[in-house]
Amino acid sequence: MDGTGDSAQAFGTDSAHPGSLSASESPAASAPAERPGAFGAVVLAWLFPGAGHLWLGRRAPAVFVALAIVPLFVAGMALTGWENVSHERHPFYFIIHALAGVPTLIASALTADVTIDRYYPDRSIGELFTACACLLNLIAATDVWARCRRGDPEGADALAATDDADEAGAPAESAGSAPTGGAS
Amino acid sequence: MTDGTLFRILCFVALCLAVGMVTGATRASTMRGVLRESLKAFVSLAGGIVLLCVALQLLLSVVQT
Repeated sequence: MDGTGDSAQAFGTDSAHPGSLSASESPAASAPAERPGAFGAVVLAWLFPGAGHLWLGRRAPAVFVALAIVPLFVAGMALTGWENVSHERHPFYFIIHALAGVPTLIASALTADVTIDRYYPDRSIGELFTACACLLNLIAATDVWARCRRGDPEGADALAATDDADEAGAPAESAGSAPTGGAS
Repeated sequence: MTDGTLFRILCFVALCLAVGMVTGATRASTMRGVLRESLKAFVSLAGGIVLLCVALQLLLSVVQT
């Protein structure tokens, strides 16, 4: 790769450097001056679990975050009879549920008129599940902010894998957490 | 082991899995990396809590004799 591939080279390509970030997976902005603004990404991450990571071009973390949070949120609601997400019935829990953004909004709107018709023995587990899902969304949003401000956590490892592969059969390239301006 | 206990164990595993997945997502960016970090986080969390419970049970059995 040459020319515009400098940023991709710093993070490796999927064919030449298996296991490292590919050019298509490299962040939209790897150098500090080029990283995307944090505010929009964090708001997206708060609104939709996984959307912040997806906006940054991180598909794998986005998928994992979405698959972890949304089913946990829904399972928690199911265990409580679909009535635990409500600012009227549970005002203090709703402070935590607000961390999940749109899922909480949808759940609250859809279950506004739900009435409990039987006893749910695992109700406390359900409330715990939903609250944990919302708190995990807060962690995911914090991670999005950190990636915008400091870069990806795997950036250094991907560069190390790239350097190791390069030493095997190519001229060495400069190492660092951000791509350099040009190849030597 | 009753159905209720088994269900609670499954809930515990599901919660640890969810926490592990989000932890893995915050520590890596590639699919392989996220999977590896998620597995490490899940094993650490679930194993740590189980060991803690076992240690407490042992302590209680010693204290009560």
